[in-house]
Amino acid sequence: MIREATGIVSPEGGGAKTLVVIFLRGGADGLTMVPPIGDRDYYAARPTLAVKESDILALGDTHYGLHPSMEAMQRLFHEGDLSIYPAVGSDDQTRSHFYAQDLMEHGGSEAGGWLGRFMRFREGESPGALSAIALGKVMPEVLRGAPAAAVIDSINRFSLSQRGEPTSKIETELAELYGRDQTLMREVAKDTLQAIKRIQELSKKDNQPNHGAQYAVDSFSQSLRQTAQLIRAQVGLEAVSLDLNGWDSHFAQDTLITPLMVRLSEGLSNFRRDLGHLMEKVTVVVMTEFGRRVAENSSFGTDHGRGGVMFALSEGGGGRVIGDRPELESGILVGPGDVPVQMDYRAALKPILSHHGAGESFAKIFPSWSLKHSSQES
Amino acid sequence: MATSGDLTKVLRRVFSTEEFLTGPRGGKLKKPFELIVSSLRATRAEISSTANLIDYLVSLGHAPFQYPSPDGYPDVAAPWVGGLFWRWHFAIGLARNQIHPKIRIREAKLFQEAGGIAGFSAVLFGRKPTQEELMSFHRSGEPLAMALASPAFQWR
Repeated sequence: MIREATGIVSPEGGGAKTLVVIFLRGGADGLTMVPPIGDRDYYAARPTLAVKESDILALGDTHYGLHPSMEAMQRLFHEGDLSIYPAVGSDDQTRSHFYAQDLMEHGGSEAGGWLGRFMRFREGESPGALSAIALGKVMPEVLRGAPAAAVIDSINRFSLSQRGEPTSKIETELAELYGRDQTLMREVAKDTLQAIKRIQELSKKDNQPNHGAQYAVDSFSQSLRQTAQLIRAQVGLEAVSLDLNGWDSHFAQDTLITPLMVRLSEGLSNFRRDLGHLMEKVTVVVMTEFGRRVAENSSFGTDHGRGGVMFALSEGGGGRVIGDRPELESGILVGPGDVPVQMDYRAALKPILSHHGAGESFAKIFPSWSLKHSSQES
Repeated sequence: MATSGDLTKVLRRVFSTEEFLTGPRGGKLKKPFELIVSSLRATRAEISSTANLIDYLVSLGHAPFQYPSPDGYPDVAAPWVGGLFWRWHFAIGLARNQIHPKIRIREAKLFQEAGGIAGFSAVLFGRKPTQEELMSFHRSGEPLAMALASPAFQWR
């Protein structure tokens, strides 16, 4: 049976919900990004690296704060848009970047990535031509298996031609032939051609960000900017994958990750400002493969640990700390002295995916975890 | 139709129906793998690298051995039509010899041997191209790309 496909690229207003997944690769240190307030064990374990209590940016009356370089994210929290998950992780115990990233992107031992499975199994119409995009050079594992997914390093180069030569005559004739088609391809072709046109218009116009947003020039910030452009163009974008690399801070951690925290914080804040009211259809999830060991090492750095932080940004959906991270007295630490995982990342993702239309298909998105989880509950 | 068991008459009647002559054969949309393989075969492409072909399969959501559940890639059209952009992208790239330096086709030779774009379209579609199709292919200025990207070639 062929299901009738209807227009996905909406003429105006409306449009798809977009889920943006930012992966902090390398294992970001949750205890620096979201330091505990008034925890003596934190200062004992990190004589040089702990964020000074007077520098910590408070998060309301919670007993967590943010690193002083993340003022923009503090604002997002207080405006009710940013949620903070202080002790999220996976069941990976290897503390290996490769295994932990792999597990977190695949969502278990299944083939393909969870974002790809979400695109395949979520409820509603079949995904359109530009429904899933990775901004970068390679397809990230998390997006593998999506019905149609594009890797692009710049939307300016997004065209039907490999080398950017014009294809307008071909597009005209495609519109002609597919316009006469009697199958479900007709509507999809119309959407696809319209999406191509919109993206071409985007790259022609100077396309300044809206509402005074000013993105930095690094590739991560520019990827966020292009994501916002695609959302504004309403080309049916539903899933985006972005990476912010370089969090593996064994040596000289402060020097290494402070610029990254600024980039993340400013990037999210500009993205949110740029989108304005369009943000009501957008959720940004920020995750990392694991947190880092509580005790600092002898090279002013930290080693691989377990529980880390996750963030979620959505209009009016935040202003909360979700889950809890116990105080760091050594009795509760796991393995060689790591923050325990208090919330599985899949549990954290569940309500977000459901908001984006996962419906009954959550068990298909995370099959092995859902199976284990439900048998534990019963 | 009563033919007293004359199969020749039955078949002649079947073969002359509108559905048989113009309908997509089999009524199945080619999966991305089939589309790419049938394009390469029909154009008799010389291939000594497959890396970029795999990239197309990934973009089209049909990477080998990557389907998440044991029931395998879907066998109906709806989940695959979203990939039209990449189907067209591939058709244009192949016709322009831009997929990869190690994947080459010879458009002039193909057309010469098949009797022009009309003959070659018949090879692609398994039926004569319609007048509209031929006019469209000519107007596009790139008949091979257009034929490979056309609706008819997307079906088995």
